[in-house]
Amino acid sequence: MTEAFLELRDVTKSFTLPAREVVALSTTSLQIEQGALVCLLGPSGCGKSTLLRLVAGFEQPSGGNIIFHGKPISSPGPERGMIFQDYALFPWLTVRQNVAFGPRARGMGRRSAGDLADRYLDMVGLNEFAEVWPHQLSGGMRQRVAIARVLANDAKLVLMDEPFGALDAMTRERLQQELLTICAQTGLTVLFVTHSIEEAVLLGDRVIVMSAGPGRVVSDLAVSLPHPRDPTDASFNDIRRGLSEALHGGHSAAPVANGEPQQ
Amino acid sequence: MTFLGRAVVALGLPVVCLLLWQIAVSGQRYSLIPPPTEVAMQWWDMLVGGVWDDAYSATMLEHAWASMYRVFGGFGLAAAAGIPLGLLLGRVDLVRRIVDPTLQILRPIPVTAWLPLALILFGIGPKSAFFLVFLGAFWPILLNTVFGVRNADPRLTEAAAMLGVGKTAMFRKVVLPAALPSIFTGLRLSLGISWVVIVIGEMTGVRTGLGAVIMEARQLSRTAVVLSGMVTIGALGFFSDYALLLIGRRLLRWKDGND
Repeated sequence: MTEAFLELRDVTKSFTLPAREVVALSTTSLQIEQGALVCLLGPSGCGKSTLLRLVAGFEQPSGGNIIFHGKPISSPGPERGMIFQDYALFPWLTVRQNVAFGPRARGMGRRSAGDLADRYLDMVGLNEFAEVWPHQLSGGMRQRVAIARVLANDAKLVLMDEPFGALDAMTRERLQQELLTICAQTGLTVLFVTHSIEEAVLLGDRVIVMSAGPGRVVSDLAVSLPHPRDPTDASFNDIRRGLSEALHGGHSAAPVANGEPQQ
Repeated sequence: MTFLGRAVVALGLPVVCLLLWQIAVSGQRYSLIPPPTEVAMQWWDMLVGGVWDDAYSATMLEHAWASMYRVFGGFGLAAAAGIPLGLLLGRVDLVRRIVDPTLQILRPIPVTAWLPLALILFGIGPKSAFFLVFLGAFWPILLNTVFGVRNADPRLTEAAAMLGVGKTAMFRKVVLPAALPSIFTGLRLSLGISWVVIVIGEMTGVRTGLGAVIMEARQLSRTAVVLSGMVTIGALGFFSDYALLLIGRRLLRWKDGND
């Protein structure tokens, strides 16, 4: 690895409430390599979503730098596509128009943007639904549209904020497999926030465990199991147990050095 | 339900009311309120003439036209002023801080209270009616537009920003469409209010208009004419709302559970 694809250097984030200052993310340094699917695992309040929003450029760090492709991040941009848990599709646009939205916003003609959208809708298996409104789709289908939307917009890094959290178990499993397939096909880099240990082990090439109060990284683990991974497999369970211990270790008031990332 | 089925269900109640009205007044030797049959005859006479052939015969279209002109004129003006101002107030904090307190003081003043002032400012005539309709229609459009802009889902703005929409295009590409349903609610409310206000507006001494007819017939104790005017206002209000509803459905056909 010559130059990190994404690098967080001593990043902190605190919010000022009327009464006090809340540290959402204490000093964190991380390097994310290109082509990896990295899971951020932790309970609510551990700063995993904050970290994602910082990388997306929705929030500015209170301290430190976030370097993407050698440049500091200062605002949201199409090279960093975000997948929200609640989809955030534009309800007034059809499925095709939603996927074509990014390319259109960046100046592509209607015709070419539409063709591009169709290609990515094909990829997520929704080409038949190009003309319908988002509200007519199921949750799983909406999330597929959201994925097609960032892919069509040339995202190099996809940020997923508990993307399958609102879906039923079967749909979630299907989308998890589809995400792995898409990653294998495109070599996409993914930062995937989840609070499910199983999901993290199932998907991640690497799992970063975070803990709350204040939000910090407590463990960083490479997962080298081959795909497809079997949650009933013994080695899968070993990893799961290890992550579970890391999570609970983080919960106890044990004096884990504040924000010391274990790289 | 089929269209016919819905129509039958919707018409049931008015038909029953008309029957009760007919029964209540027809048994008496003398009634201040004419039966619906007489009102229907009067209405027909006002529309095309040939029944009574008096001063009111075949004048309905002229009055209806005058009222519609004022309603849609005042309403259109209110929309032309209220939507842009609402967009500005909802979007730019500084403008809201400057303008909003003044608006909040003006807002509780009822249209009726403006009537004397309107007569001084615009004189006795259609201009005053126009102005009063404008005032009545302005507030719901303004408030709903502001509400729509301020309640545009921040998630959608974030989604657009991450897809490459800049600050200047954000308003047109996200905030405006997100506010559209709310703007339309404001328009529908305002159009309804415009029809309410028109009767007050036409008390300002104008010679034409459904409100003027009602006021004049009242002084002449022509209750059937009063009721005919009321029926016409009701019908025009209904159809204009329906037209707006159809336009809204077309523009907002992306919405879930469109009524």
